[in-house]
Amino acid sequence: MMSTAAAFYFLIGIYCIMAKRNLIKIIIGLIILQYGADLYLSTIGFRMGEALISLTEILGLTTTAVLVFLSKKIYNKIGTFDVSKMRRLKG
Amino acid sequence: MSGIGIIAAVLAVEIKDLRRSIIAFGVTGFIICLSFIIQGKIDLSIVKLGAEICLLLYLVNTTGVEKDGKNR
Repeated sequence: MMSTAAAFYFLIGIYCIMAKRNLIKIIIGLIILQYGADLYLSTIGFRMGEALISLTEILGLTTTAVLVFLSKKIYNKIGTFDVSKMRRLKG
Repeated sequence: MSGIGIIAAVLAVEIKDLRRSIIAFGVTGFIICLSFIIQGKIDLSIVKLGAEICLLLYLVNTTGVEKDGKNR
């Protein structure tokens, strides 16, 4: 049951990352994907599971904080969260 | 329980308004914490809840950057 839910979370996260154009939505998709991985790791219940989940939790929090900070900077510079309008980064 | 979390995750992805989307995302994280409690991993759920609250505060702060209150 829980592993099915974990797979659903994972798929929802991948869909959100691939289909959405808003930076905040992409970050939310990344976190939902991480939720799926955490839930699966806790479901299979191997010995190092809890330590691994705690580690991924803290790493995910810091990574997400950096991503949100960068998206805020991009918004202040370009004026939108829409990734399709960020053409100044094109080479 | 997991069904509610999955529905909340789908709503968080699909709702246009960013603030409502973040609220749905918070519900998803809360359901994940409850799932950890059901599995008997209380310490993990406490860590997850703390991280979730920090993340939600930062996301709400970020979405408040935009001046107009229109849907994004």
